[in-house]
Amino acid sequence: MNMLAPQTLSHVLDENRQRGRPSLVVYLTGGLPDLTTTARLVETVALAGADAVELGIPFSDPIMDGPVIQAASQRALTGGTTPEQVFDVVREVSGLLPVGLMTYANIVGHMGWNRFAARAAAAGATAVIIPDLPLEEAESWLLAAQAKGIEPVLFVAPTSSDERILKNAARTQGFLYAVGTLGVTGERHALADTVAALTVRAKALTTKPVLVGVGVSTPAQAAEAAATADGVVVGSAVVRRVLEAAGPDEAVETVQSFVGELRAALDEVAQPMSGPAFDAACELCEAARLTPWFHEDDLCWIAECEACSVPIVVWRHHGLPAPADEKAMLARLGRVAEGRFGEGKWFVDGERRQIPDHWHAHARWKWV
Amino acid sequence: MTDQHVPDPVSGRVCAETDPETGSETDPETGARPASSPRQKEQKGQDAGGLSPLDLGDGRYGEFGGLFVPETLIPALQELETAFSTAWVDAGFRAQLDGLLRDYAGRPTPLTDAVRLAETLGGPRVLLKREDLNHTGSHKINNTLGQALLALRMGKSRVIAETGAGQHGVATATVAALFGLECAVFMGEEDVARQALNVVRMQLLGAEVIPVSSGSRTLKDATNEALRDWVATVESTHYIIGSVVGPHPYPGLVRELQRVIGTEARAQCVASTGGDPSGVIACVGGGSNAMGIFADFLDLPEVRLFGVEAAGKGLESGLHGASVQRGVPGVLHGARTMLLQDEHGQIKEAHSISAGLDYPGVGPEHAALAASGRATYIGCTDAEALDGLRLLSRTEGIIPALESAHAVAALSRLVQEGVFTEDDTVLLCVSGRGDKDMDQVAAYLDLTGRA
Repeated sequence: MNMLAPQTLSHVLDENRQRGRPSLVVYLTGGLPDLTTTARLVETVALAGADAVELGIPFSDPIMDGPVIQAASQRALTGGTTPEQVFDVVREVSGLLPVGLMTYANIVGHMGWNRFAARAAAAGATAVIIPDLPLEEAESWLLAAQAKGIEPVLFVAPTSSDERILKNAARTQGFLYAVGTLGVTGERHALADTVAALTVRAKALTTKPVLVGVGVSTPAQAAEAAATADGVVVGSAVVRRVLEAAGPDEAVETVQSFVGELRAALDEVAQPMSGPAFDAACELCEAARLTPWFHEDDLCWIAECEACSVPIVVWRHHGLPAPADEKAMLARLGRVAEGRFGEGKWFVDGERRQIPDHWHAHARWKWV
Repeated sequence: MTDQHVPDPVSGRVCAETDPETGSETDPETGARPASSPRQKEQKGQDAGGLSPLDLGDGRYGEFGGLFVPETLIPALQELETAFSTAWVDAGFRAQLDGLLRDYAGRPTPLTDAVRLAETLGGPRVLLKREDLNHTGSHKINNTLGQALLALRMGKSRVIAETGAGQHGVATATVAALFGLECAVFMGEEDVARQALNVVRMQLLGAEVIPVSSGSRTLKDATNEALRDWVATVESTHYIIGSVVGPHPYPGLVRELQRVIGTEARAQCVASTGGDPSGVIACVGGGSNAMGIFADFLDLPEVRLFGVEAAGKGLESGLHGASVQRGVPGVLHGARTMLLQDEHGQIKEAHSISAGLDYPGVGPEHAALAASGRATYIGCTDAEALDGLRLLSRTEGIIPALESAHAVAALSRLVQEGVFTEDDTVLLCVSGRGDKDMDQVAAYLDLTGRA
């Protein structure tokens, strides 16, 4: 067993979420501007504060990508970049942070699902993202990935029904990739309205981290997205800087400062937890089942409040959660409250009178 | 197999009187509700009540097909599948489509007994299925009329299409004009240059032609760009794919809309010869005219089916569009099929004199028919296609499209090789007319000094 076995995406992103720290995943095209610089860029984004890297194996016909990543892929391919060479880059950098590979179904299928998973894992990649492989076609791939310990990342989109979100959330590993906007990858002037709607919906349906990608272009947009999601994937905005740089040094420099800005903006919306995740003296941490429980998952539990006799939602961890988790827990409380009091006949009482340092909220009956 | 519902093709091309109120315009609102469409009145007496629900299955053809698309598009594909399978058994929808095929497109198209061509070849009797006589000049209108009606049924106000030779683009722009739909057509820059006439036609019809400069700047890249547009506009837009390619349900849907070619041809052949043909020949790019003419013969093993791919500069030259013969399985444009690709899985550029066959993939059902051996795929080079074009022009007075000319050239070779003899009857699909290719053909013939 390799003693330097890399941490998985799940480890890093789950831990971030529990600490109330939004995650930052940065996409880079393998072989842009060349393989040596790609490795340098991965080191750079790791040092600048990215939690993980999504490394693209360029494909000739990237239908989910806009002009920037198309141009990057084309340039990398013209430079002769092959899947094997991108695996070599992964081998070089995978000790620094979790590395996911991103490529299209034909590249993976051409090598063979099992062989690709085996080589990716041997190189030290921990996850693989295939944007044109929906669940309907993914069964062989999911089995191959599982067998090699690769986390397959699945997508949800603004057009996804709740049923599809549930299905993809159930099978994804590492995180659930929420496509922020209707469209292909690329920078946008503003964060799409669809981001909040989709992530709130997705987070109400899963306890896995939900990260927004596609159309997250600036530090401000990243921070805005992190208000409802567990983090962001930033691709085109980074790759454009590499494409526009005069040489490798300038590319490294400009990416370093941009990723640093993204990290800082995300840290501003973070809610760092004070103290440990479990406080032996805290009644809510104890979670004694004194009254009926209506719901429980990895994120929270909902029970009848011993004192008030109304539903109370309690975070699994001591302290205060990130805004995105707070919204997700309130959505769960809402479902219990609807059943209890009827539609619209309740409200959230978020005040923490007795135990202010362990997040919880009550749903109370509303006089209508 | 689903029961088919088409007008009796043997009764000839007697068009019902076109209502001047509706002959050229259909309100999208009423167009979407065939029950209130005046066109339906012409269809009284026809009954689609005997149709069983259409099942396109899971879109798998052996190991080929499927739906390899971004998550964003999955709901739209499911919606399309539902819309199509319910529309196809809706008598009102079928009556409206049949009415349009008859009164607007000009169906049934004739079956021409190519006597002088047959004499020249010295072999079998040759029956030409004249898809070149459809409105807009090719078989593409069969598909676009059907898909436009589906777009209306799904409440979409905009349609997009990819096009190679421009024939599908023109057919899409035409139905968009007919139904008042907004229309954008993606076309590779190289094809924009070599098919200028069709660009003008599309623009005249009110469509926006978007030149695509990425990759090989041909049909493959136009399809990529159409898919990217659709990912962004899927809520208001229907993507009218022009061939039996793409994600499920498109390959089956387009085959059903093109099936009319073979259904008519078979009945016409029986009426004029007393039996089924011994062979059917059609060109294959994506393969929609071939799938359309093959469909009703698939269950008749005694009828030999030949698909003709572009061999370009020769199958051994590497410059061709022969995905079935020289490709390996892979995933492109939403389906697993035979593809021209390199050892790493990067898609290679196709080459053909004919923009419509210049595509590195093929419909998944063709890939499956080749794998099972039910159909045979052969290649004709650019030079052979030019010979085929001249042969048909001079013997029958029919100038075929360069795509269809590949089928003529294949017939010529199959006769030389003794595959078809005097005892045989061969059905050949003239998928389109050659007007669009005249500049290019003139240039080629000058170059070779043979004009």
